Amino acid sequence: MSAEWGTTRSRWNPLFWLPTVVAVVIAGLLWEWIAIGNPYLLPRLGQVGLQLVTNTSYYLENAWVTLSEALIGLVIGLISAFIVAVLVTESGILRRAIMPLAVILNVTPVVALAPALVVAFGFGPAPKLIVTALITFFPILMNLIIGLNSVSPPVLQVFTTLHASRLAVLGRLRLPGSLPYLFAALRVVFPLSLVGAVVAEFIAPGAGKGLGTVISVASANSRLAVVYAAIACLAAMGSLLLLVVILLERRVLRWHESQLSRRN
Amino acid sequence: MVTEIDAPGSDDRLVVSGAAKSYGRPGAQRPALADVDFSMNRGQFVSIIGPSGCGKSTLLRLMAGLEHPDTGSVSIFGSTPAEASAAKMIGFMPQVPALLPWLSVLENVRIPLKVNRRADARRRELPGHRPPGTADPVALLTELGLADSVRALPHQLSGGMQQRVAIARAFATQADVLLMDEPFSALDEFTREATQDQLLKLWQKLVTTVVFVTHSVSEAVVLSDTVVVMSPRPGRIAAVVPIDVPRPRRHGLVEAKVLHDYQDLIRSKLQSAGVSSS
Repeated sequence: MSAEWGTTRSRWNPLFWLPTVVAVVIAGLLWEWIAIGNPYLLPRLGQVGLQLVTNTSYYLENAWVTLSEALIGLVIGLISAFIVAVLVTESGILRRAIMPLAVILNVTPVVALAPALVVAFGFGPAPKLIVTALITFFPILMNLIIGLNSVSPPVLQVFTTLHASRLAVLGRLRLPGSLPYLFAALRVVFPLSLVGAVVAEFIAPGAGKGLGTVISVASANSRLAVVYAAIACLAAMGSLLLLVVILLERRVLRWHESQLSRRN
Repeated sequence: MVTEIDAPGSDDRLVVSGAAKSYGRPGAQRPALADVDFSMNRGQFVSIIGPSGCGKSTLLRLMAGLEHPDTGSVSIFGSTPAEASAAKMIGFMPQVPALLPWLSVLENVRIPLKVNRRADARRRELPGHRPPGTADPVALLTELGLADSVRALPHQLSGGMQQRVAIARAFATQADVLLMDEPFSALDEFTREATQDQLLKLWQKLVTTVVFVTHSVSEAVVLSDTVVVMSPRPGRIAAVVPIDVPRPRRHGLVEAKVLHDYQDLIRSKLQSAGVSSS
């Protein structure tokens, strides 16, 4: 189980960081080479950087709007997925009633739903939160259902002979046991929540703020440097969200196999 | 149907009578147990031995109330398995340690005390319960040589240590009967013998009743007051062998010759029951 190579390759060893650095440099050079020859394909990296530096507060303000939409939508998606997952795993009747609806909701492209939501809820934050919640709901639901059902039979037998209540089995076995599955979903869904927020902003631009609105307006005016500056902000936010999940996972899942091999 | 057993002193006996159990759909049933009668006294250590497929684990699960017999009945000191488990009179120990990986060793041992808290009241009402209260988890772990590991997580322990934690957990409620399903089968021989010694020590100290399923002849002999030999297809009891060896029976302390004679006797019983034992 132990990953022996972790000790021989420390972070300071060039073999550890050099491949990443080389790949980034090559990608950057390739970008610049294309941008110099074709200014309508890509902006120069320097222009994008200049945008970010000179209009920092503008980007921060819009990034904050998008981030808060994404996070609030994510929390709504998480809480509703959690409630549905518990209901569905505890009751066969509810499972047969709810699951078809959940699947239909999942196979419906949420992007197609967004304009209808804007018609229904206007240009305020509501449609953005709903789209984000919908996009994050299903991955969390599916992983939680698998996690809640992943109790090992011998442990369940011990609890059964102790005549543990359903609530005790849920609270002491199923929920803690589902945490690794929940975190696998969160790794996907944290960055995905940004997609939900940005897509909803595309549909309802002009009103309010947000990086999606920035991109949509700037691309209509062919201001590629602004578009890519906003995209860079989104990429940074996505990475930040992923980092948050990973750090949280390390704290919460100390006991889990996925974390054990890391530590050696 | 449950037939009531009115044998005298059934408050102090664990009785399985006429139990049969089949698996599979009607029409394509595979019998696992056929008409098994079994009884033991409180405070005894009884092993059930037999090859795979002889129904020894099924018999244990019937006693634990994890499964129900098609015909016949089970009485745990005068109560049904359901009543007994509702009162936490039964401690079950599966083949694997089955610890909760997110809880420390100590918290794992305390789990049986935390679930089903109403059991203590139920327990006092049942006839067959002898009330010793609960055992102190820390004292149990110390007794099993795990005093230094109470704060550790299960994955930090060896397989043998994990199984000792499971023993402590089984003893924590001071259950009236401990049902153990091949708990040491995954351990290496040295660890296994040490763990057997510790189990025996606890059993004598805490005066518990143990039903111990195993496929090891030597393990059955060294641990038990009585060895029940089962034969397969369909599972039934082929012989009951009392082991008349004085206790305490720590490894290396008992005269090897006596134990060997008993082992040979049980092997011959297994063979005459249609089992080629290795």
